[in-house]
Amino acid sequence: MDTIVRIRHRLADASELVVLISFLLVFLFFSIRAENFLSLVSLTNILTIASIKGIFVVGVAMLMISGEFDLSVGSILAVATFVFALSLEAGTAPLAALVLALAVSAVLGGINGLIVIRTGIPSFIATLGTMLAFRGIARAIGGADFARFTGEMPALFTGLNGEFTFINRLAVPAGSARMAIIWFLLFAVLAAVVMRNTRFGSWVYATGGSRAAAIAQGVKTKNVIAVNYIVTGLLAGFAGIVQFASRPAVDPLRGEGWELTAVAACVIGGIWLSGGYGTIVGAAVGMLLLQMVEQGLILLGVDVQLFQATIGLILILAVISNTYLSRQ
Amino acid sequence: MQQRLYLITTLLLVTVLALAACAPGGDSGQQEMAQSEEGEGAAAAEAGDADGGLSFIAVQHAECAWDSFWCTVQNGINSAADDLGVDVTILAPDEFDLDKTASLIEQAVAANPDGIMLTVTDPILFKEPIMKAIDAGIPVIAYNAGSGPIADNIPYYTYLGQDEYQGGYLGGLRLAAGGGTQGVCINQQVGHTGLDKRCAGFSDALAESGIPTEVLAIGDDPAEATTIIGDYYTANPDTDVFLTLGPNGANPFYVFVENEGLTADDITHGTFDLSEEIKANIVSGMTMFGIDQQPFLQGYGGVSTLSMIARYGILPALPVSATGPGFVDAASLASEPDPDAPVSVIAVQHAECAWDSFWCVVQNGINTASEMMGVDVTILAPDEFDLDKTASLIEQAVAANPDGIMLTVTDPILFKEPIMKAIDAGIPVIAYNAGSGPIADNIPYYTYLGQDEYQGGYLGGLRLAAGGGTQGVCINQQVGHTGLDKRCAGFVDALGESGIPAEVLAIGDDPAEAATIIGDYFTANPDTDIFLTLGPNGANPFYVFVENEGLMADDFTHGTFDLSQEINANIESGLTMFGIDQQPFLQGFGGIQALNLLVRHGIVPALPVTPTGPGFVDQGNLSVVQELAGEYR
Repeated sequence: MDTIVRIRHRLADASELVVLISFLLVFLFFSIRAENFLSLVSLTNILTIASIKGIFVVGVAMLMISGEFDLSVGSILAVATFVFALSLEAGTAPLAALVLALAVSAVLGGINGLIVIRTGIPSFIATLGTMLAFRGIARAIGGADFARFTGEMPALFTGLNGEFTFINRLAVPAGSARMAIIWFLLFAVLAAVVMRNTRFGSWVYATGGSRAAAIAQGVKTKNVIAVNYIVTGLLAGFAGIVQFASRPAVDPLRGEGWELTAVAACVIGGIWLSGGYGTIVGAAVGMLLLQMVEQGLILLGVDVQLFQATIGLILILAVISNTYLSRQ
Repeated sequence: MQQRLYLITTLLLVTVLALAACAPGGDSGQQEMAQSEEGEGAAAAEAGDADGGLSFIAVQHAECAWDSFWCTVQNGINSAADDLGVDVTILAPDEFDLDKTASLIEQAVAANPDGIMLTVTDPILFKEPIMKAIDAGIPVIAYNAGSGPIADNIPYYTYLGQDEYQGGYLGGLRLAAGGGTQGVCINQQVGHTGLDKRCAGFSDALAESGIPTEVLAIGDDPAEATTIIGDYYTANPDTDVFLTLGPNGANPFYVFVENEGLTADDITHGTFDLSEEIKANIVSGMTMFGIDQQPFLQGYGGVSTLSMIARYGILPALPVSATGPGFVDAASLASEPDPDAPVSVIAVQHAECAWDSFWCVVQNGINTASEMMGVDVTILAPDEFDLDKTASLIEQAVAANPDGIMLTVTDPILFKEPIMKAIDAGIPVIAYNAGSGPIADNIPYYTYLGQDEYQGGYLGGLRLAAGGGTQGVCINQQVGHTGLDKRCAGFVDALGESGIPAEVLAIGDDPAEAATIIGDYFTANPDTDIFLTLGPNGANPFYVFVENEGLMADDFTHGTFDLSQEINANIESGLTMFGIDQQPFLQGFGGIQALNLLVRHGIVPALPVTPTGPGFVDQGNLSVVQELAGEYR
């Protein structure tokens, strides 16, 4: 009995273990059952497609660890992409358009933060409101139509989401590895280091774990939350821009529903809904797991409708496992 | 305790395994099959035909027993009969005998089949027996020999055969793709309409690349022909793009090439038809391609077209349904047809039945065809309109390495890269419902199945002008929209053929304003008596205008694109002559059929655009269409 409890406690200390084990099991399953799963195109598809969402999952994960939600990431992403696309089409220099779009994303994130810390409205409700409001902004500035970039692709696009042709050409069908993977990796590692090794990281955990205790210890929880919202807004905007750099068109519904995918990735990754517990690595692996399931099911010839059912099931199982392991 | 831990950590694996059990071609596939069987039965009952009990008669002027060419055609007929679950009886004379063939048609009519397919070898001789069938209400289509209902002056539905102009044109595009200085079309029978059309298409294609061309007349004597070609080449040593129109041109051409010591690096050569000699030269690289009229498809397509008419009231879009040009190159010569090969197809579309009912009809077409032909199909679509997600789905479909992918080219720029990934990996790709064809989209997929907008306007114009008229107007709610502009262009051209002047009237999307604009136009042009509207947004204000002016059905003729409750009611009352349907069922069904023929039989779609519409809905077939609405129409 003692051994079991000890193992459980050790597992509980590493909250990403459940998602890592799940990831490996699902990976193993598809490797055996799904023809072509272990092909360059399949694996790079998973990485590249997951990375776009992965970029803002990093922000959502930090927010959730600090005990808050952001349901508006999909809408911020849409606004930022429209700002980027429309200013490019208007002749703005690519770098200036990028800065402008990121500034708008930061402001929208800041608005989320302000509402949450000033009014005390639960962030779930507050960002539900801004999700609708920002979506309206995206539709308005886009004139309810697509925005495209039709000119010569600027060099900036290659940096944002260029193809790794030297990898992709290694096999037939060609792979689809893109810069997005690097950005995702960069932000995930950066955030993981911050959360683990810096004072700010400890503040985030403290803010989400027990806010009263954190305040008592002198943690400026409101600042922590505000910073996290701004970071999340920035990452959401950046994800939209990265996506636009590979397929330069954006529609007014872009990003709708992604906020829930992000929450699902975080929860599967072992982050508690109540905050204070979980890791960035867990959330990142959670996102990869979700995308792997989609590609795997397509390879198995399963209609895409079943994808959502599978995700739902995995989500519930992950929560059950995490809850069980963390019972001390 | 140990057990519980074990339980939890392995729960995920178990779940996924359980999911997989119902994954590939398992329960979900069977469910689909059951559904479509049910649907088919219901529709057939409504259309008045017993389920699977269709019987057709094919009357042709020759047969496999004494002309091996026809073995391929008959093979196509039997293969389609097998796939589609219909009975086909093939009738042919014992030797070439047109009179006997004509009387076989008459005897076929006596059997009162659900459809007749026949060779219009002699339109004058065959007109009377064919009219007998048409008058008896038996659907008739032509295959292999004929020129289409308009040119033959017999109102059968369509003619399945080679499009000669397009053969020359598309061949010319291929030959000129690598550049060139001077082209020549070597014609062994100048004055023969079909051969002249081939040369005309070739010249037009090369002209697009700025390469001048000439037609060189040779005779049927091989030795003389070789000399003529040689003399021409001496006089025009810059000539480097050659098209021959069959073995009678290709064989002397090969002798000429040998005489001159030319190699494949010096010139490009393509030819119509295939022969052992031509095939050998394709393999050696001397000849880029041979153009096949694809007789298998003439047989297969004939049966399939009749089934569409008899089962679902889906009519062939154009007077001529092209079975060729089918380009045969070194790669296609190397592949053997395998009629029993398993075929798996992934369909990626930008919308789906679950949230857009238009797509239920398309998907029903996909599922019906896949069940009939034994093709395994997976349909992928985003949960809401999301082009980026659709593009990702294409990429993920490529990873599955299916035998074919059919997809909507909703945005040719956004989708180009993922589609190219499939094409580069050797996966055949065809487009359906959304797209403009490989040339216009600048993506080398095989073909696009959708409405031919120009032909819709043109054929609609012919119908509207058939009874005469003074002045026509095309009411366009979105001038500048390529598809809508093409409809008006076709309409104006058709009326022009009858000497009726026609104009385009721009209206907006505001119904009240549009009715006023139409009214003002009519006041200024009171002679206007032929109206074409391009959809409900034009038809609805038109109906308001008609009521305002107190016009009657006798005062004008009106046709429109699309169908709606209001349009249907006006077709019924006789105010509107027809509504033009793009026939979405055929887009789904035809997509699977094209990939099935491509993978199993090596049949290549003939044209960049395979039209599924215009499908005309008038008083004659409105009730059938309404009964099948939502499922097949």
